[in-house]
Amino acid sequence: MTFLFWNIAKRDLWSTLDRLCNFHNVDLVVLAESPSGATSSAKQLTQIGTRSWHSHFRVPTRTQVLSCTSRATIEPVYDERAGMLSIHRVVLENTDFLLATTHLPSQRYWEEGELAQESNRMSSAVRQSEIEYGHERTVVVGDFNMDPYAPGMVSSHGFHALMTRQLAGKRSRIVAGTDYSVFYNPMWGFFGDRTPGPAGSYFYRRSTPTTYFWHIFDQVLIRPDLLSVFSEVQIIDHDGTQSLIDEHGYPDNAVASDHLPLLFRLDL
Amino acid sequence: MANAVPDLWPESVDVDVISPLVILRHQATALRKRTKNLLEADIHTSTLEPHPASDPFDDDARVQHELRIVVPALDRYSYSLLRVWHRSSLPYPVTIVGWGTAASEDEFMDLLSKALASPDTMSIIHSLIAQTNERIDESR
Repeated sequence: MTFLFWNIAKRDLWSTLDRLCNFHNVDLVVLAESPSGATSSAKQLTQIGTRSWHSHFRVPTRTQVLSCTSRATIEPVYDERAGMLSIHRVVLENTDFLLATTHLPSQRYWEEGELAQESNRMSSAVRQSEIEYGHERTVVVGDFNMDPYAPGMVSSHGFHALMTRQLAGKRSRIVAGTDYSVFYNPMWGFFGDRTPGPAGSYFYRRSTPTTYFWHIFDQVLIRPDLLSVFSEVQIIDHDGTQSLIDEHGYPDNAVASDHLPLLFRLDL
Repeated sequence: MANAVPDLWPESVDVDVISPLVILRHQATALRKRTKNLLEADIHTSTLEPHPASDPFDDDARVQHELRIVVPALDRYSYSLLRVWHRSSLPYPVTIVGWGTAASEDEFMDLLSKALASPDTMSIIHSLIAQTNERIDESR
């Protein structure tokens, strides 16, 4: 099953999305900052392309889940007033898993400590759903507005997302007497220029002394119980026809979004 | 013998103070009754550790109570309607996230009633009831 997450910055990028989905054979799309409601997003994607897309929601939220596969049923299981976290249950013939989607506030408005506190709350909400459904087959994907190394991502009080499969393979870690489940965060591997593709998913130049330029705000986290089926993750810089980056290799805000899409696969 | 020492405590000392958690529990029960069991509600309580980056002078953990609506007919779909937090050592003042801070039980009930009666809240409640009725109708 192939997933695409993209913060489309309130743009009408339906043609680009359609090309992306066709080129990568995407089954499920998660959008942040869609310019329209979920029902309308699914309709526009359907009208512009050759596939039939469906939205899955009970109330309006900051992320939208759209699917075009008949292999799975997708049920909303949790939402919240601020809409920053939504959880869906994805049911296939032989298995099911939880798909948590998120869009946290920008660091223009929220401080790092506030994002860390929110990560604490969200990871508890994810954990609560896992307890209710009796398993830890969970994926969290979205625009966290934090880099993989941020306290909210790494801390056991936050998402507790670790940088290697080997570390995540231990499943949990005891901190001050409490056992905390972990996630694997594959996004660490994209930093810098030693791997193919963009050096991040978001580019921001500041004039301050400490500037990272590239950020990886758009991330996917995988629980250990899904590691055996997690086969691929990419930060995408073209839609099969058109580049999504400019001549400098930065996200091309003029033709697409200031965020690059994230693609990942679960062999289910 | 010296004159008897007077009782210096103010009149407002009250033995009937109710904590935010108890008030929220009553609202959860009330919602179930008002919607004739179409909607339920429960309270999730957690502790948020202080984060020095947020407030270097705040070293007291916070208790957060989350009021969640649960919809039995929609496979127990849950919606987190409100979050309320206070310092673990003091039930008041108490903050309703997005609504403000209440210094007392009376102020909290006043603020909470505004939050529960807001157009956004009503929209969510009615939407979930409508979806429930639709599901019940489909199953007939």
